[in-house]
Amino acid sequence: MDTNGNADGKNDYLQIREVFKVYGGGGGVRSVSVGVGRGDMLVLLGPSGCGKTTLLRAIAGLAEVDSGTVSVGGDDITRAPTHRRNVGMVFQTWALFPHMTVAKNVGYGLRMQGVDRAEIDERVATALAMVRMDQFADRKPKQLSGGQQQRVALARAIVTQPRVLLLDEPLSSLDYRIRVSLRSELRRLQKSLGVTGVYVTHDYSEALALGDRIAVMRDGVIVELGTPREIFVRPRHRYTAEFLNVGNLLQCRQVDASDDVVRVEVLGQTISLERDGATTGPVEWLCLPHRAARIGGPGQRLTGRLSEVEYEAGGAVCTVMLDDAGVEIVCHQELDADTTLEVGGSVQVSLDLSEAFPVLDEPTAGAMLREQMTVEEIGS
Amino acid sequence: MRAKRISIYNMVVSVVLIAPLIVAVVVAFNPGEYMLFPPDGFSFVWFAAVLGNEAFMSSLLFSVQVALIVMVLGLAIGVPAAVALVRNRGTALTMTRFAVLGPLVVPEILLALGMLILFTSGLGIGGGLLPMVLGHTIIALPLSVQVLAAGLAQIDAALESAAWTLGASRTRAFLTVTLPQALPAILGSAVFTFIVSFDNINISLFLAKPGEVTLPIQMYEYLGFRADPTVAAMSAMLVGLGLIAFIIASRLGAVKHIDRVGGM
Repeated sequence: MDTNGNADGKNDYLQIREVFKVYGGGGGVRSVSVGVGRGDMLVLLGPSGCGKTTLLRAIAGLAEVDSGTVSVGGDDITRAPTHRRNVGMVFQTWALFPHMTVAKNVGYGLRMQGVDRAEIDERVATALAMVRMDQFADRKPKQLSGGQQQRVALARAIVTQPRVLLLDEPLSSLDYRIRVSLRSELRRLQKSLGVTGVYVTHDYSEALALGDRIAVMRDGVIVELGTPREIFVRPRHRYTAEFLNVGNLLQCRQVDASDDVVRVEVLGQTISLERDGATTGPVEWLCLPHRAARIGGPGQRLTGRLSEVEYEAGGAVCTVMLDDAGVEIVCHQELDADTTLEVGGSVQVSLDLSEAFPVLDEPTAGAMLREQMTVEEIGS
Repeated sequence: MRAKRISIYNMVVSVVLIAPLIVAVVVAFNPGEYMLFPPDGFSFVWFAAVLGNEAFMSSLLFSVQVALIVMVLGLAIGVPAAVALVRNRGTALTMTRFAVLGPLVVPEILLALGMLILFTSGLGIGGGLLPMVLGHTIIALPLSVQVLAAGLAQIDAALESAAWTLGASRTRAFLTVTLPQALPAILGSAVFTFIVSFDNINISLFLAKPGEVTLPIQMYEYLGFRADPTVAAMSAMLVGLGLIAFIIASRLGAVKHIDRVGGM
């Protein structure tokens, strides 16, 4: 159900339906369906080996799908060779042609399309100006910094006015600061051009910053699909909550359930949760957003031992081992002059359990499917 | 201390390697009938003699002709084979690897014998240019493919993918993106193939036709009945030409790929 989300929209510009691409080693994607509206950016988010790059390569035609369809603007391109798809792609290594100047690199796609020389020059200049690289037109890629090469790669990918722009972790090999500044630039550019995009990353902050929608992937399937806000504020799956570091995950026991209210026992307290549509079956895990856990703070407090403190911008990340429950709680703590954080010391943690929401912890469809397939393989 | 010891070692090895060349070159300047070392004078008479020697000149021409054809043929087969080696997987690849590297581990003299029998009684083409070209190509191919594969392996496969996404067909992407970057390796392989063919004596000995022999055989046969410095003069000129070719090739970046193969 989550796998399809609202991807069924027949009007989506880019449509991926029931795509399978399984590799011998077990990687790949299984039965993935997702759509991207015109001018939107879909981010495929997940750890390495989750199938996000495979899916991107399937859209580009660099990986031939086993079954399923890929269509853009209503045209089925599943079997079209890469060079007839009119996609723009930015590679992880940027893949600039080392024997060509920046201008020649950017103009390559236009030359392949047979655009006449004067127009090529003009469009290359415009594209380079867009990424603020017009000063470097005559340089060779080797003479540029990583961030500059990345901009050139982007200019090269958009100058042909592709129907879909594909980005394969284009920022992952850059320094943090450049990464952050480039990603907002990328977002602005993508929006101003109105180009439909698919962006692959393992970095959730990048996903939240760039995506109109985020598909969280695991084991070759989409676990959860939604807007950054939906995914981050109210993830449905334990996996998503964990991967996006949304909050503390607490195991609980369901004691009572009616049609619209579920009562669960957690950390020695019984709380009521509103049952929402997506959740079926007994509630076993709760996600408590980080803001709901504080050292000190109002309300009922639990005693624990501070086991780790990690300072970061605007505060500290504190890990507390609760004495009674034997559960670790992570608090994002604002620092002020009064607070002393001593590792190994006893602290009082207040948890606002009314903020907690249930999350699913079930094996993904992919994992189940793979198990099934393994059984079949053994059987045959 | 350590660095110094290595450099002495290097010097000794270099001298051992170069000494025979130096002797051959120096001996060529003897004015007399004998290959004396050190020479008892200085003259160019034997250079003039070799240039005027019809047998030497025609074998030189024949050797160059064979080597050039082998070079072209070697590239025509070697480039696709190297691409297959570097970019593909599977059984076809294993077979290519065997076919291409096989001749490297088989004694050349056995190959020569096999070729002789195959070409004369099997195919009925006897000795001469065609069998010579085929024979040399077979022994040059393993090395030339290694040089090419080493060069191609340096090229990021994503470059070709990038060209495809930009609208280039497979062929066009290969020609406009991969090939220009493989050029030094291709050049290196070409030089290498030429040398392997030009240098060869085992295969040539078996496949040569009377009156149509390659230069190394001509030189060897000449030494059998005359010991004057003609052969040395020929060698000196070849060393000179070889040196020029090497310098040009290394300027074009072709030598590093051969180097890399040496280190494998």
